[in-house]
Amino acid sequence: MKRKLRRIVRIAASMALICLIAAVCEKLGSNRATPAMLLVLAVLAIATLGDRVLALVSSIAASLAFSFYFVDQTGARAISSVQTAITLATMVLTAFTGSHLALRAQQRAREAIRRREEMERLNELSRVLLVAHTLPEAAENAVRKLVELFNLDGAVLRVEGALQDFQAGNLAGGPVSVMRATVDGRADMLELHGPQPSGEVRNAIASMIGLVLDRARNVEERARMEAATRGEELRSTVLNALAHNFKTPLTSIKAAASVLRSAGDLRRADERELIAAIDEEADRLERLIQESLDLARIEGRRANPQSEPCSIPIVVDKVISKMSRYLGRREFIIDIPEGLPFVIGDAFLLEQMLLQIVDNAWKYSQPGARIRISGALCDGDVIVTVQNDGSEIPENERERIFEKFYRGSKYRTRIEGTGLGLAIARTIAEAFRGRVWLDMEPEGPAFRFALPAEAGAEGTVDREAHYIVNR
Amino acid sequence: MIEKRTILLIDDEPQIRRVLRTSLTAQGANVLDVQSGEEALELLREHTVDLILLDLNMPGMGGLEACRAIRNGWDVPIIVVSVQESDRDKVEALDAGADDFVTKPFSFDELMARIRAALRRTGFATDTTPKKVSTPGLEIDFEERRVIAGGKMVRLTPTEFDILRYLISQANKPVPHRKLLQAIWGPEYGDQIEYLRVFINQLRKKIEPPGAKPTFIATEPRIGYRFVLPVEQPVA
Repeated sequence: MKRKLRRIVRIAASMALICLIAAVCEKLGSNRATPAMLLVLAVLAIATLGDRVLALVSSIAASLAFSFYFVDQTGARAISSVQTAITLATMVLTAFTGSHLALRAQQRAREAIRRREEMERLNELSRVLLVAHTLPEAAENAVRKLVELFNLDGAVLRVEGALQDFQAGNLAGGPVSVMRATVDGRADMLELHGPQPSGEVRNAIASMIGLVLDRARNVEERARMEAATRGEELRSTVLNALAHNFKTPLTSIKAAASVLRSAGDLRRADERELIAAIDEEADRLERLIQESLDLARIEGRRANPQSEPCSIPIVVDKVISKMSRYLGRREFIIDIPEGLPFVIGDAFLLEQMLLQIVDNAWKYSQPGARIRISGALCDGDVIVTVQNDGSEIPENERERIFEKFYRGSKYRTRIEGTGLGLAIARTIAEAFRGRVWLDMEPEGPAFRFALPAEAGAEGTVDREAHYIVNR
Repeated sequence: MIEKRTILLIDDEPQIRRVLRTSLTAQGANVLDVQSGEEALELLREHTVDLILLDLNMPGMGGLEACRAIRNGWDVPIIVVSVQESDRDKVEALDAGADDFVTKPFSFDELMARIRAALRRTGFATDTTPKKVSTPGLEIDFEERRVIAGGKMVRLTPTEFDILRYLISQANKPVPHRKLLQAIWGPEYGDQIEYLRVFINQLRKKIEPPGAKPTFIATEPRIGYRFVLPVEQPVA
């Protein structure tokens, strides 16, 4: 209403100005050029107000004034219709040009102000977002501040991997825009409800939130890694202390029993029998302690595995020498080709995986049986086969033996074990994108594991520590 | 073989010292035992010992540091006896100057075999070993146990000396890891490739002229090592 009134006042004032110029010029009786110039100037001045209609009306009024006021004494129109037309065109063109330029300038000024305000808001948003330390805190601050700063009805942030969406304000009705807020290809989505900010601002908001989420994720990841490392250090300190505390008394028992046993001057058979029992049980206790410690170490390491190129021949060597230590010398036939590529994994875990498989092959085979360990490269995978000449494993058990605590039906009562070995082997293999499975072959059960070979490392097994064991 | 030999036992666990002292004495050895590295260093100044059994986890200076300190002043064979069992622990101990590593718990027979191997090493010689070797940059007198490398006298531990002597007895031929381990440490050995890597490294540091590529002890990839001795050099 007020604006309308103001417009009417402006139109009236403009008309009055034009009439005044015409009247003054007429009175002074000046030549034609002066009123023409003055009228054009007046139209231009009115046009700079930025109102196209007003400018048009003024230009017509000015050209009419020029035509009607300046008639000569005879009463005839002193100017031709062509001249009238030219005057009109000049006036209108001046009015349009003036008002157009004025409008553009005004628009630019408004734009500049709007941009400044947007920058201030974005700046404020980034300030708020950067103080957040955790992902939920960052996401919550983001939606709350977005609604507040950009006068939205509501905002929702769906963060990949988060249990719930983060939202603020009112989500009912109104226009909605949905965009990806991410810098690294994650599926974090941002929804803005209500009056929408400009496309540029929306993009800026999306990438800013993407950056903040990314930063919060990195911070959380780093904290998690640090905690894992600290946990791992603590665990290994505790394990080493435990190992020391258990093994020290066992060392005295084992040494004493083995001295007495090998001394050979015990006269009575029952004395020899008793000493043998102490010696053998000390061995068993040691084996149990070792297995439990290894198990605990595997669990710890699995949470934080290394990723390094590992040589399968070296892993095989280590397992064989470990087995020899616990189970006495056994017959292993080893056929690992030279130049087998490295695999990417954690040397300790891979060693434990093979140890579980070989231990299993040993336990479930007849005394004196041979165990063959062979390696091959097949379709970019290094495949290791551990084969014993043990008996047939029923079809329905071939997959189940890899389950935790599952033990073959025939052996459940006869063979000492926890039923964890193959399950551990499978988890480790899978951790490095590998597989473990069982094939029944005419010569006996063949346990196989496959691990991706190190890319571009074909035929470069050239560490001096490698050689082939044949016992 | 261990009769009348003096063995120094360094372990903070009284029960282990008790069992080992009793058992080794029963085998005819003369056993001295202390419970820390500091005491061992003090004792070594007054007594000559033929072999040291050293624990790693000890209060005070600890096993590794004790090993280094002993190695600095004495050439006596050191067998580390520890509950630590990782390769890293073994390599650290060997790097510190130990000659062998036995994991606790052990059977007494196993320990005796290691002790015998360590004592045997100090008297090792073969018929094919030359008495003296002289080649540019390296002079060795096997009888005097003297090595001069790059014009400077260097001190080798008994194990290092034996490895060098064995490699030279097989000069210019590749010696497989297993063969070398068994020749130096004894027939029970063969898998302890990490031992060789540590000792060959130390030997190279002591006798090789500075430079990237070893001139005397060459690595034969996946096989073992080879001592390079120019054939035209007179071998007395």
